[in-house]
Amino acid sequence: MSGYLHLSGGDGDGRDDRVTRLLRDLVAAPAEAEYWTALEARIMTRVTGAAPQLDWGQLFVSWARIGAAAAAIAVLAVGAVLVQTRASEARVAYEAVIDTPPATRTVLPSRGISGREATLFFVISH
Amino acid sequence: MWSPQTPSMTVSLAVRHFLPVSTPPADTPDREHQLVAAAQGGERRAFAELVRLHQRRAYAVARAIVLSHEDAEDVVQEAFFHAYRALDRFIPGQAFGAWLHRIVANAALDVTRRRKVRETDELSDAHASPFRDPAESDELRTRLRHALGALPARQRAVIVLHDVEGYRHADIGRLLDMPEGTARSDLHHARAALRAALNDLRSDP
Repeated sequence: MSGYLHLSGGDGDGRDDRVTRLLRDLVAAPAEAEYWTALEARIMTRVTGAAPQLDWGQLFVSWARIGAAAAAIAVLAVGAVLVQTRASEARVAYEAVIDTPPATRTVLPSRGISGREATLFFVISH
Repeated sequence: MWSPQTPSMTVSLAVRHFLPVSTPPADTPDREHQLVAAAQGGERRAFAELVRLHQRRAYAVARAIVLSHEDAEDVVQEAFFHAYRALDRFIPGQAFGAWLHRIVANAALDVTRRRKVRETDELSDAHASPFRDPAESDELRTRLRHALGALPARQRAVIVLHDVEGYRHADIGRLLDMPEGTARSDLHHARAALRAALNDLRSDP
């Protein structure tokens, strides 16, 4: 063939067969099977060597669960301590009211005083 | 290589739009879904098989957009890497090929955006094609290579995907995230630009 290129015709939609053939030549993928095997290996090496992606949402959820559990344990512990403290305080207060301190305890004479005198002694000593 | 007229195409219906090339018989939708599910479960062998099934088509998509074989290769690797990392976001039942090719196209467009300098000489002849026609003149090849490199990336992608890879306008629109009409218009402009660049060239005997 001679003369200028015919850049029309083709399939009737404006495509030129010869240009299309040349384009195909320019952008053609390698044909060798070895090439694709090697490329697959490189891709998988990249994929395998990659650090696993952190899922921040999942990470947050798991840490939130741990935090919630720790908080619940802390609340229980504080509650137990508070209950124990209050019981202890109540016991001390009770004992403070009920028990007579040894230093102020009055030893009532067992003999020689009447019941009325004993009552008076008790009231005075408290 | 596939041509639009090839009657023995064995591509599954679900991925036919984006996989006009013939693919291995294992590439049935069920098999692909199984592979994707297994890969999502952490089986790397399953992902390797997906790579094997899709890497050629992924390369073709990348090669339509970037200027060099080396860039296309890098894009394919990056795209599969991103796909692997994003597997948990892939919705089962989708066509894996279509999903992957969007990733490939985006990665390739990123590369073209980064490479503002249009080095048309980057077009490599290192990997000879079985379609290489020795009768075609070197001058014609060189002119076409430069003309192709001078096209805007989107027009280059459209003409290669349509005229060489056999994609339809609607598929190209989905792939490159643009309206079908824009794909048609880009194709028209790309053909006109190539025609203008080559029209004064004398053909070989």
